[in-house]
Amino acid sequence: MSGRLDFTTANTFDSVAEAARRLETFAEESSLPPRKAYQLELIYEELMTNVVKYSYQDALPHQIQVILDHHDDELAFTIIHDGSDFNPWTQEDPDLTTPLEDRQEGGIGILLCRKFSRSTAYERKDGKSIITVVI
Amino acid sequence: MELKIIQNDGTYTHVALSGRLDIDGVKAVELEFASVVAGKNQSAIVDITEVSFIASLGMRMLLSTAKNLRTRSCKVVLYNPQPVVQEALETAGFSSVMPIVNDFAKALEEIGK
Repeated sequence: MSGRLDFTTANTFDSVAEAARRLETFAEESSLPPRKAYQLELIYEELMTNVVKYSYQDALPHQIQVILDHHDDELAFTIIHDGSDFNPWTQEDPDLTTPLEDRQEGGIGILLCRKFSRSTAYERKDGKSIITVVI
Repeated sequence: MELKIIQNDGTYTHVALSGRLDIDGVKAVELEFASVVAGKNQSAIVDITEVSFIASLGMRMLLSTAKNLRTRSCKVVLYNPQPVVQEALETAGFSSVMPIVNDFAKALEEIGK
């Protein structure tokens, strides 16, 4: 199986949530195994909410580009945005051994992306951030 | 996304979530979830049999409610996750902060019932 999906969404939670349906449809049409579809949808939600929350210092509308390339059993997922130059993969993982009362609620998203992917990358080019994950 | 209250009186709370606990799903249920599950000084069993998706937003919702109950020495027990959901919860380190069980008798045991 191979296929490609390429779309843009506004930098709002509503728009990102709505665009998630396109990924679900793509996963269905490509007959992705349930585990892979789950990982893809999770990585999409984690990275996109991170970008919407932290990458923009102004209140202007921005477009985020999402590209998905599916070849055989490999999925390459790319996000391109014109927000700030921040590499999500430099974030430290939360300590998963702390007891409930002290357990950090942040940082879990990036940890899940890392654990559910084969490789991750980040690049800043022509004023844009390119975040890539291979699942 | 739906929250069904199976039992809210007696000695423990029992609710069931169903649907996708994604951005929209969390937005739809988080206030009600927090008020029902952490509304009483008693432990809660959260049936997630019908939850097909959870990411960190949804996990945060579960975690903050469990923390809230913990301050009153009560627990949240997650009951019957689908395999992909269970894998995500375990990868995020949930099994060390709240019990995840596939057997209802075990869930009751976890909350001392």
